[in-house]
Amino acid sequence: MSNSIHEQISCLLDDELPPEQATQLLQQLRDDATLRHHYHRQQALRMRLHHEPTPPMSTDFLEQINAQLHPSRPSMQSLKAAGHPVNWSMGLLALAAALLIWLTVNNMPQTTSLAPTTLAHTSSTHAASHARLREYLQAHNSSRYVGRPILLTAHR
Amino acid sequence: MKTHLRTTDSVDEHLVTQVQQGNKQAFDLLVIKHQQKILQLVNRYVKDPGEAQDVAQEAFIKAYRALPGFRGDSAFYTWLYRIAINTAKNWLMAKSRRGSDADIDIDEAEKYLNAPQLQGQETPEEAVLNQEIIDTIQQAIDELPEEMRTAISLREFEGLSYEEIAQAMHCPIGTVRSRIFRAREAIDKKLSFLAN
Amino acid sequence: MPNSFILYLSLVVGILVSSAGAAEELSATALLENLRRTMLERNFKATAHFFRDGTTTRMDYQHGIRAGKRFERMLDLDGHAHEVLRHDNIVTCWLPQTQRLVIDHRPSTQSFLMTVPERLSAIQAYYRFQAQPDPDQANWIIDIIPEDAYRYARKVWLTQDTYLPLKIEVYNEHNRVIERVELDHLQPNPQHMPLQATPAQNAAGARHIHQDPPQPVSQAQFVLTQTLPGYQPILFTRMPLPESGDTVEHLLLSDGFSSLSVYREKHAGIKTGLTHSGSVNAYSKTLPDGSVVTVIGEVPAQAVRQLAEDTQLAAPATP
Repeated sequence: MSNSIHEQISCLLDDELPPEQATQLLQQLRDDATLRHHYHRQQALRMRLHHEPTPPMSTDFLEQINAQLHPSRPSMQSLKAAGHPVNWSMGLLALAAALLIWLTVNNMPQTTSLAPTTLAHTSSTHAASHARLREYLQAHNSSRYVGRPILLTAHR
Repeated sequence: MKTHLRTTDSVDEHLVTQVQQGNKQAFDLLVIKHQQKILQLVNRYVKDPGEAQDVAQEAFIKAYRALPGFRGDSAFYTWLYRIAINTAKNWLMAKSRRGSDADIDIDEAEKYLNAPQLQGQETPEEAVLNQEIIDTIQQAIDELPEEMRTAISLREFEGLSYEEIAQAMHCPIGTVRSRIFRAREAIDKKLSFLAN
Repeated sequence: MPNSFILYLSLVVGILVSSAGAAEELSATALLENLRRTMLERNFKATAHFFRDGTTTRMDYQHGIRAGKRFERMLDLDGHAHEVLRHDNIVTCWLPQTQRLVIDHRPSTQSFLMTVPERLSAIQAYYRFQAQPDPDQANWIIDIIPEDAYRYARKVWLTQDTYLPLKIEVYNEHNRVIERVELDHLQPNPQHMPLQATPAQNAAGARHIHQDPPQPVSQAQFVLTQTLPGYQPILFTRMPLPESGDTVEHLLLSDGFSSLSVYREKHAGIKTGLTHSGSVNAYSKTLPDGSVVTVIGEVPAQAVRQLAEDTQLAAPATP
């Protein structure tokens, strides 16, 4: 990820981007979960600077709102947004997958916050379960998961 | 005197107009921009993180449905914050009535909110963690090079605009922008280390 | 216009369209094969920026061949000095802060950066490949598009001349980026590739993964009533877990790009249901004998849920 876009995010936090650039950046944040995560993390950091609490927030906060507002919308829009060639069969497949996921899975996946606060809400049963899943991941792919913090959260 | 014009209002205004003209995706951008603040606001009333998220989302859904009637008499975020507070208060009252989800009188909710059992209490574990975060942030700021420390302090604690900081520090706005960005990165890195 | 002419015209157009599509697919496949060979056979180094599961990590990355054996190394550059080293087929993870050493003996020829299947022709029922030149950078972009909901889409940017990877992105069901690896300071054939000394593999306190040889899948005390389309078993083993030492059954499956693991154990202490973080999804359920089966991997939620639902206890062996 380039520093320049992170610098723009820093400016957006301070309301120091020209409106057009701010809108473009917000569009980028919508289409890129990694950037969006960075933006919300930086917002959380600012709250911490002012000694304000930073409640944990699921990274699909927006998707959950859209699922309620317009349940059939996400796939085709995001296909275009991600720069993939729009293909009807792929679109329908993604749409079906998205709908199925929304219908079966429901909410609350990973959280965006400053990690210690998130962990504070974790009960001991969750902690034991989480520890075991971490071990599974280490055995699944050691080069990816040994020594790397990962917090698996439950769907409600 | 601040001559600087904040971009939030004009960006929000533009996006609100877009939504009102039928561009549903513009609402996504408003959500992304304000979700953290709204969640934080709701969390003052609704202590359970999962419930707080539901209530914050409900506030955005209410705002989306009410947007066609929004005439811009106040700033968008002021209007949104009011919706969020009312949604949170409704939720609290509904909870107190064991499942009733009828809308409630705001004054009644205020009384309920002031009840001592609803005031948030940090657990000792949370208090220790929070103190550790505060200490880490303070340490990270102390360790910053002087120019970065001054820039971030003027921005965060004095509320100065980039232009005002540039005047105070006798440097171009681009330098201010870069110093504040690098200061945040440094603090973030220190916090990541704490998390790990 | 006579009907025969229209028929002829549509046949010609049809042939032209289908041959253009075939050429495009062939080109993407050839590029992926070149990428795979480069990642496994070339000497190169870079700085790799990983974004996974909500965190960003910057690693010094090296890949090379020494004395006919592959080595691959990633060293964390953000203060933790966490090091992952492959020497031939053995992967060693060294965590200096906690003095923890984990050694994975699983035979694997894949790159730390990305897995590309050996036989792309075998998975073309499950993925479509499309290649296009990158208009700005004169590089190649390959789209790896799943044909069903059991795997993620990927996009790979690679150099046009050396086929080295520049960027890899993984997309979720909504086509949003959920993982990214970006390489900069890329050096093909570097003059100098210092291989950091890691603690000896027999160091006291080292934990081992997959130390015993794999067993036949038929030895498992669970069966998959259906497997997910395109996923093949890679290994089955009974082994102690790296931290707790508790014994589990482990079946690893892969479609070449994506992989998932099925674990079964008696006292897992795992809450049942679906959990996730970033690209990882996990689904756990209790079997009739009280054991818990968990399917976990970098695949969509639907894949782990379905495979877990299709996992049952094996019938007891007849005397």
